[in-house]
Amino acid sequence: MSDERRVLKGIPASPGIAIGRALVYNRRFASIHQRPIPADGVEAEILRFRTAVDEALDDLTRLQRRIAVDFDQDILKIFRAHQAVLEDPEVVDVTVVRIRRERTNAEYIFDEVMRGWIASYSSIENPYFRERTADFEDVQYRVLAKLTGSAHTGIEAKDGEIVLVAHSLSPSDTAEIDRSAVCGFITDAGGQTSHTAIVARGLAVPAVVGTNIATQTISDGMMIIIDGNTGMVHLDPDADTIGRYRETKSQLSVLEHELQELHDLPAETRDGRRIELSANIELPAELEDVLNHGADGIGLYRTEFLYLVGNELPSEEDQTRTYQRIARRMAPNHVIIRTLDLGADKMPKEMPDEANPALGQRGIRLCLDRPEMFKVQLRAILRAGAEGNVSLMFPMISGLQELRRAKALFEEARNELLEDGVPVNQSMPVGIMVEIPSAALTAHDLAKEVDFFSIGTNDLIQYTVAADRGNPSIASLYNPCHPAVLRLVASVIDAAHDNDIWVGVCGAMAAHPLAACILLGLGVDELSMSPIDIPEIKSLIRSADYQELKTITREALDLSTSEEIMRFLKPHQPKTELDVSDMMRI
Amino acid sequence: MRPAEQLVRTASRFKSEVTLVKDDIPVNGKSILGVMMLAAEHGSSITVEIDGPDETDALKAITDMFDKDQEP
Repeated sequence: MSDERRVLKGIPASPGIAIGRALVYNRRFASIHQRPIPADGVEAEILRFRTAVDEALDDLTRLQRRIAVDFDQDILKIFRAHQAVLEDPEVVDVTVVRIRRERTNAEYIFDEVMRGWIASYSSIENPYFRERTADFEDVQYRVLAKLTGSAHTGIEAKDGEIVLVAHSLSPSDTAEIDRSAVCGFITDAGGQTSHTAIVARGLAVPAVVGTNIATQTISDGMMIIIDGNTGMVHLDPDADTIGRYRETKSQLSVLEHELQELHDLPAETRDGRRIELSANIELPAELEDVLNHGADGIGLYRTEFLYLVGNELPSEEDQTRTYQRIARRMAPNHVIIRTLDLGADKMPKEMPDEANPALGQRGIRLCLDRPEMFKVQLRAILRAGAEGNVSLMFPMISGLQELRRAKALFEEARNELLEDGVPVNQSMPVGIMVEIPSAALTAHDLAKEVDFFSIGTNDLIQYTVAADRGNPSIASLYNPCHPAVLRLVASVIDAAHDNDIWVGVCGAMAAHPLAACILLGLGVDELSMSPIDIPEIKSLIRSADYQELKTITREALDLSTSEEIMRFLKPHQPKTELDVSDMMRI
Repeated sequence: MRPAEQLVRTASRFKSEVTLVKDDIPVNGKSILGVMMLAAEHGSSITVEIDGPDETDALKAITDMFDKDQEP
């Protein structure tokens, strides 16, 4: 048997290595049959239906309680919406009336009623409402499982060695999973921002998504290795492979432990230059990770998730609560909240047709076009600032006029809150992402009107070299060490310091060891990255000599190709005892 | 609270039947699924029909709600 057949490649969604036995989770179940009910059995049938609905409602309440601790308000909201469906007279009463009138079994009627709703919503043009059908299916399944007695026990396992394999995992599924039993997830569908990925990262369980064929290829009880760092899934591996991964797994945990010891040490070079190491986060659930990895604060809190869960725009209250939670938890350390950075294509209630979304209406452009929506978020951030160390950051700023418009709305929002007597932070620092070349080139002007810069290198590189980093055929053009990129970054750092403001970097460059050394040498004050990358970069900084890096990076700026730059700088990259990157490669 | 949810909650307090009609399509005003379908496109006009023992009170409660709470 060739090795190829024993390996699946998917998208790495949550890092780490899991070794266990497969449990294939299939929520499709036996078809529903129509069955006549005798006249004297009708009331009993109705009672059976009502009991099933009540049990399903109880389950939902229990689920909400269970997840309230670890998850977001957003996931709770989904379950509340499910409850609302089971309290709807057009679902429950209609089913009861039809059981009585048609003398037919409850599961058949209920299934028809739900199918009717799903069909109606499927035909709505608005994609946001159309997506509700997934919620209806979840509810439908839950009640039918009660009625047919096909235990919707979800996933049960004993010994923490279960690798869960599914087509996709709904929020209900993931919340029902007994965390002590499951050591990894594999799904056919999904990407890095799917529910599965988010939940898996929140639980610190390795996951690979988007394998396309996992459920067809894997059978129950099969031995599985998940490599959440590379996206590889090994099916029925031989003893050698298992041994190798067990070895790596234990090395990783030793390493993790060593990195842990860095936790309370500052990110300070040998010659005493101290910078901030902050975390990029997307969900409040990641706060644990942030605190565990010794971050100095949150350098980038992406707020998009709030707008992508649920079918409506998040309210001021919901946003305030979420931001407050994060600010309180991190205090006295800073939290930089980035305002909404979505493309119009991801917004609820619209389907714009943009030929080129990366250069289209996204980020601050979209927000300035919808000032009422934008002010809801600005107000929420201002309110959260009343009780934490919160800063606000605008994404996708391309020039001074745009910045001034955004700041005018911010001041409007602040004044409205003050007039209403709502407590806010009156002197909240306001900064911008520098991620568009036009902003980088006018950084001197922008620096005079903001409190800080955070260089978003992912987009800055993409826009500077005009190459999409997700496109494999041109991926080699996307190079952080391109002299144009480094000179641009250097000029932004200098512009900030000339104007006495601090400057950080929040793109992937910050977590790349060589690039981090360059940024340190160029004089950045802050690096912000995924929590898991912090210990390694901290260890690197602690081994570095700032004066040396400063001298050589300035020299490197005069070199004319990325190859020369890398060859020139590589020998100066400090050696650390902890080289995670080599360990991750098997 | 969102307008659809609020409407359903208000309507459900009364015995009377509450029917919303938009583009000749009637839906049960006590059904969140029904009302939400109407709400899929906001900004259009709907007709509210109320029939039952407490119809006057129900009508008042619902019109009050529309007048007062124009949540953006």
